[in-house]
Amino acid sequence: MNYTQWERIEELLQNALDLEPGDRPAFLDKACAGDDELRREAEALLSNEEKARSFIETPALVYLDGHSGESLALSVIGQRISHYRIESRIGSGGMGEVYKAQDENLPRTVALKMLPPEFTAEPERVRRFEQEAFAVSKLNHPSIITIFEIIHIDGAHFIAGEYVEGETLRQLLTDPATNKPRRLGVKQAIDVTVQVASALKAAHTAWIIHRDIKPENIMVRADGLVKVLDFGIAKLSEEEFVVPPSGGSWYTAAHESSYELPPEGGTTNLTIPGTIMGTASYMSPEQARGEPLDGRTDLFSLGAVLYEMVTGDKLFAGPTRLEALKAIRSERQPLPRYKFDHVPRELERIIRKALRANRDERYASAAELLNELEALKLRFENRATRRIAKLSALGLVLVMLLAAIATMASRGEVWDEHIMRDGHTAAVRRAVFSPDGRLLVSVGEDKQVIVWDFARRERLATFNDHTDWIAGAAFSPDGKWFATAGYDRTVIVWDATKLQKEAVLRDHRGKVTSVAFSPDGQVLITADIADSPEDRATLLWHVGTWERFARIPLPASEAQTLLLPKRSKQMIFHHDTSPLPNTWDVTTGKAIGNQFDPAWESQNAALSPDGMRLVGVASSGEVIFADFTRRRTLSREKAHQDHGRAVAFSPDGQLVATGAENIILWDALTRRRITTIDYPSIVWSATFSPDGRWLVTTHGDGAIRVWDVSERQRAVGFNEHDNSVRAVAWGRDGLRLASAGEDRAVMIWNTETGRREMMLAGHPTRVTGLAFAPDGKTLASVDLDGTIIIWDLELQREQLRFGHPEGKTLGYCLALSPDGRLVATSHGVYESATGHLVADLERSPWFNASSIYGVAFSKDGTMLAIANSRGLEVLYDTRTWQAIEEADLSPRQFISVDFSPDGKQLVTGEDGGTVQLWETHPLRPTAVIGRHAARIKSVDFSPDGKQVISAGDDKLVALWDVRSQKLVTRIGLHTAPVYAVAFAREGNRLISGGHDHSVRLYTRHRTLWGFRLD
Amino acid sequence: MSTQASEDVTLLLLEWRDGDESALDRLMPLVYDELRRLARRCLRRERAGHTMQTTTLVHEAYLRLVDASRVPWHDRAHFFAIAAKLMRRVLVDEARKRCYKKRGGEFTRTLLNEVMMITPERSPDLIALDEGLDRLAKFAPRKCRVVELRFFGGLSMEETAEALGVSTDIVKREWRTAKLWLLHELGGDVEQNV
Repeated sequence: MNYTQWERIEELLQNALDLEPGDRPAFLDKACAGDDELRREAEALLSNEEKARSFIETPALVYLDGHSGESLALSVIGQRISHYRIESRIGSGGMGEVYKAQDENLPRTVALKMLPPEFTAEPERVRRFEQEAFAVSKLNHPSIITIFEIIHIDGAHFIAGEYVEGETLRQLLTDPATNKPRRLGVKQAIDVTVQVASALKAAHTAWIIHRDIKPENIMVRADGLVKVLDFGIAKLSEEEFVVPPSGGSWYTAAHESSYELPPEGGTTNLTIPGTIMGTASYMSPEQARGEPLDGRTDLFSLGAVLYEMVTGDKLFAGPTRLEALKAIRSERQPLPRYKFDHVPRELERIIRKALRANRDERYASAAELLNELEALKLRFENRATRRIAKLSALGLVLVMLLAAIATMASRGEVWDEHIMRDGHTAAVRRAVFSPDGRLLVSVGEDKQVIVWDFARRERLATFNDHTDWIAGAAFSPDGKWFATAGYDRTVIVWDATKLQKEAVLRDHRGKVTSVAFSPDGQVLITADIADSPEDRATLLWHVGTWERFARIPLPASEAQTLLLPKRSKQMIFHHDTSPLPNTWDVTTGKAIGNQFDPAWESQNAALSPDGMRLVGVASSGEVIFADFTRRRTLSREKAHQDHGRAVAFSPDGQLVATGAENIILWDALTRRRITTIDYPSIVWSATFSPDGRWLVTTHGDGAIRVWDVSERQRAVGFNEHDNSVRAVAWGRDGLRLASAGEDRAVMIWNTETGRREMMLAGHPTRVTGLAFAPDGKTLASVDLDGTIIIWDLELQREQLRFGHPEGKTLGYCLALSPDGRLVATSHGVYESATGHLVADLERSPWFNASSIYGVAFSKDGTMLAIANSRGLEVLYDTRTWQAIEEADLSPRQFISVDFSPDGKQLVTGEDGGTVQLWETHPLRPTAVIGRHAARIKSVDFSPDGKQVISAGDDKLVALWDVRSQKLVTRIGLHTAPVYAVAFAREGNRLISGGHDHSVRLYTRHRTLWGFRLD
Repeated sequence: MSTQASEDVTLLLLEWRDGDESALDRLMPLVYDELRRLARRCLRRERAGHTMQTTTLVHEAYLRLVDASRVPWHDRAHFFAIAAKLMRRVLVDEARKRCYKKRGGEFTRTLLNEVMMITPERSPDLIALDEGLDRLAKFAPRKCRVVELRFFGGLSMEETAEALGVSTDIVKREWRTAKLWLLHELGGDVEQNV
């Protein structure tokens, strides 16, 4: 080639490269104008474009360095990838090398994982992986690794995620001295499994399967917190994903050619081509067979991990991977010979159930497994108490002298736990408004029908009459009735005024998923999805007499609604492609014809209020807009990734909401998206309030979400907190308690009914402190900005709002004086009735730009104690506001403080995890009564002064005996750091709140010889 | 590296910039020695964790050899240009030596890397690439320089543009066609597996 030739070709190349590949041939045709040789040359060069993308992109030096993975790591160390500087190699696995790296933009350490190029060749696959990885990360579960970003550089893909300091479960299962496998203690094994199950529960709620649960993917931190790694990564190795015909849609593998085995008797090839997941030992039988997967595959794998933890043996340990795979594939049961000699029988039962080859015999959900494990964990803990009791009893018989001591030792206590949550505990399939918008009825997979006062977000009634999942609900147009339809084949009609059962309709032969009233209110329409086609039907009933008068041989759709144009007798089926007509007369049950264009076939569809336009959501995720009266498709767009389920028109016909994996709000006229609303769990239904102000969506995790349509944002939690709980408080009467936190809502709960009595919204940021006034009529709360709000609990509204006069402070804590007159927070003490500043704590000489994390009044109100970030404890005289005592224990950091009832002692919780006891006059530390493995967030003296409760980042709520300075018991099953804990006034109940969003109420039971006394 | 050498390199670089072509002849061996030393060290993994710290070897050589306070910033580009050319020599020499060793003294052209995990590409045959570059230089010398600076010198697009005194856009265009040509020239067969 010479310069001139090259110049011509180069010009061609440059121009061609700027074009889309599809446009190039035409361009070359024209540009080469018959010069075949030139064209051949150009095409040959262009054919390398794909290869050229990564060719010589890495500096030459790196190549010369590559003689092993190790030496390569050396060359990568110190390099920068995007804004991450690689520091060291942490490990490697089938799914790529992992490095520890520093983020140069933020002061944080990250784990950087490079995905093997063979899995990232298809952009679509990478996109799906990313979608899933982020979806899981967004669940914000303490045991799911947070993913910060996914970086694409020169064809390589890196995941930057949370860096976890700890050991993998594989490391824990290996004896460091001998390098041989070992087992873990039963308690630790259960603890790890509980946390993994909790992570799986969250992921499964979002319809995401891990697919590769194994000890290598489970990290255990020094403080015991478990992190599940690599969610979604297994997806990269899969062929495709399918949406199963019914139920939800699992992101799953249709078939995995990598697990193809040679036919029986055929030649055995010991290497399985293309196998990506190296570990067969944890694979479920259906996975090994390459069948479609659901969440139960993860439960099997977790069962295999649990088995290995308690026995020290791998579940499948064939000499070759192929043999292991063969063993898993077989339906034989039990799969291997179990060795459960030293395993408690209850645990053995759980493991056996998790490991059933037939997935229908396994736990149906992670939640179910989790419940059993948590119950077992609690039993073990209580049994430990009992074991001491048994020993003591022996002592009584042998040595009478020791009886007294033995009796003392055998006196114990257990605490029952109750989680404060108002509403559903499983997927909410549908929520419907009464025509006047006053009531909202929600139904779901927990078999509950709940009637809510929508404006007050209050539960009015709960019905447990259905015996299986409930999928449908509808109000009659006059608001007199509502009907619910269940998988138990029944439809129940309820009187909406008296809130009682009116009629039970039992004629269906299969699961009833759809229920509707005709627009004139005369007919009730119910439809099922019976298993056999001849059983499937839609039934028509007279409203009032509840007599069936017609049967139409067409089924419902999973997504529940029929189209019923107003001022018409038509009833239109929108999802069936059978040869039967799709339009029927609702008054007679006779076929009319085909109003519905089969091209619009949808999982769910809605008509505009004027009946002119139609919107459908298809199982493909497509959203179809159509002119219904002119029978013309206006647009069709794949807007959702998941199975479309929810669709609704706003009452004014201006807006449309569609839902699947997220919610999209559309302008109904322009058909443009207005906004997308994300929520970690799938959307089952969407409905607008009759006044058009709110959009209510229901979700797979049991949540009912309320979105403010005009402001395009969510109103605060409908039935529980939906973020960290930072503060809790008891009312003096012990009947009420309050909780608040990150979601900015203050919730008041009734401890007797277990329900929420009110919700107070008004804080602009995280609420950090709460206290009831002594008369219970008001409540004080403070937020991170330092704003204090005094709430009138009778009128349920804000009474007074104030802050530091200079307004430049933060609020971390709050305390009310026993007479309720004063309120203290991080920046000062104020009169609660006026907001007048009494003492400016930040002006104190000792303050020195520190932070006050804890405040407490003595029970007689004469002293205020301050816990300070610079290791100071200060006592104030509340009459003179002079500091009367000071102690400097820096660099310790005090976070929480409380007085003993007699005011002679203090207890503090601190950053280092120490529960410290103090004498108040003179102020000096006296004894350490206990330790947490991590920062303590909250401490509280029992009302009798004999015990102290503490809670912290190690997820524990611990009860300590003040005199013996010993642990009495650990309480509760928080799955994340606990931020607040408080004793009720009578001393037998406790409340805690934490990062797992839960508020937990505990009740004390005294025990003797390990048995409950009450 | 001694202060003396640093002094020399800095001076020579300034002299060369001022038009003294002979300064370049004296400069090259100094830079070459340093680069080879650094490359060897890096390849022998003597300084695990530090070798490629935040910058490439060429940058490191620059920092070691040149008193940056005395050389105007944009003159760094001249140094990079020389260094990249020299790096090519160092690395190709190293590759030749390894091939020779591996085949028991008999010179065979073979692939240099066994495992390449951090980048999706397979290692190119450095010796073939070197020869290909020579051919490319005959009709498209600037493309050859771009590849030298980018691949052997480890410079970014921007640094390459600075070193060549052209815009980044031009470098990007040169780079993409140079790669196409080289792939074609090397028979599209550069990503052999071992």
